[in-house]
Amino acid sequence: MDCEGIRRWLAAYGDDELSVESALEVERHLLVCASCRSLVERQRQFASTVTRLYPRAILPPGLEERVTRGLRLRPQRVWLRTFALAASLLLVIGVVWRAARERVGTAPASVLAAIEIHRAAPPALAIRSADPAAVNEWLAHALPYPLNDPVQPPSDFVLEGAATIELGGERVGYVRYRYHAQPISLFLLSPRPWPARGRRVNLRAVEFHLFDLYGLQAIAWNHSPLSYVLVSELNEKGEHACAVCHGGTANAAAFRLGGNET
Amino acid sequence: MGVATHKNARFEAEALPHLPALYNFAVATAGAADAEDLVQTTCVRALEHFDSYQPGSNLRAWLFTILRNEWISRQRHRQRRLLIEVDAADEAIAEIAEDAPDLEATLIDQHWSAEIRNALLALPETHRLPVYLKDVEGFGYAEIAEIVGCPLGTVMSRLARGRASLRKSLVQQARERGLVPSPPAVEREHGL
Repeated sequence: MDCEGIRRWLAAYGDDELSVESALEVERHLLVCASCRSLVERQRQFASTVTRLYPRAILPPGLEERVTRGLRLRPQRVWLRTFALAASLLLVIGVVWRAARERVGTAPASVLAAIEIHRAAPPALAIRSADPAAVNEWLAHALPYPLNDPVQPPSDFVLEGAATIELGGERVGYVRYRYHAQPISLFLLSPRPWPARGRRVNLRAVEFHLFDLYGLQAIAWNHSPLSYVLVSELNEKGEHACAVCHGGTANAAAFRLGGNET
Repeated sequence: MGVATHKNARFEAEALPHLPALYNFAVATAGAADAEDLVQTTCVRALEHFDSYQPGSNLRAWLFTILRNEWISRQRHRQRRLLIEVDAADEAIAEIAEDAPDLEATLIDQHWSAEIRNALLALPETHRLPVYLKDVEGFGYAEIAEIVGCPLGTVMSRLARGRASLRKSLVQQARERGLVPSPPAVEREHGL
């Protein structure tokens, strides 16, 4: 075989990946070809230099803990998926469709609008920052109503940024987080009463209304001077959804007290 | 201890020691901005399918394969376009240049770690991953073929082309900084 044919095999020869027969053929050529001998040696040197010098990235602080926590949240979701597959497909489709229609009819309009925005393409962020202070300052200037509560994410949430968007005919605040790769949308609305619908959880005089629509979780509440809607794809139900964010805080016990189904 | 809890514990004990390597592969695959999300999702997927893992086989390669598949599913539409672009570019990549014989010594003397990483991460994905998996992670060709999902012969050619492109990029940078001599004028003219 000539140099051109042999050179196609040189990298694999240098990596010790050729069959014995092919390697012997390469070696027969190398015995008589100084140019190919030089090339295979240079290829080996280059590969070993890359191996020696390539810098390994350091694991980001807290990533292992976040991965572990994500893994421990997971078994419920696997069980639910298995259960769903075992059920009759036709029956499930019919029941889910009917249930969804009924629930859509009972959720407040602003909650439905927030869910639609979360399901569609995510709104463009006017400020991209993981710094709660910077996002709060931006929102304080951007929103037409006072903002006393800081947008302070739980420790496992990664703040991505904020924007103002149209929702139900008014300009509202929009904040996006990531929690274990899943997007979380928080909507900051002008104050409004929430009708007594959905599952309710009471905590320190704040009533949280929980809705489960289209496989999404929505939580609505009032905390003066604003109303809030939080939409996510987290699978936890009812008060467990609150515990996802607040499970590690002093409020955890209060969130596990349970609520009232309406 | 329930079945799920036992599975979780076994997975954490066996798979999490590979987290630093998995994160580095995520950076090489998707870039630093997406690496953390990709690692977290990969671990959850891996736990879900841990029953299909063959004990005694290469767990690190199995985790890398899941990460690679997860990245492809995220990039499904863009990936198709990239593959077309890269396949067309394959033919344009030359063999390792015969010049700059002292490049390796220069890289070591100058401690060009960051330059090597940046040049490698700038390669097209189809060339970048075989070079990373072989020269950084030390996988064999068969394992690389499994991880990137292509035939063994394709791994061989892409690895050779990837190394050639990487070397060419580093030679060019070294020349720009006057660390290795430029080619003779006649070659430069032909190069134009």
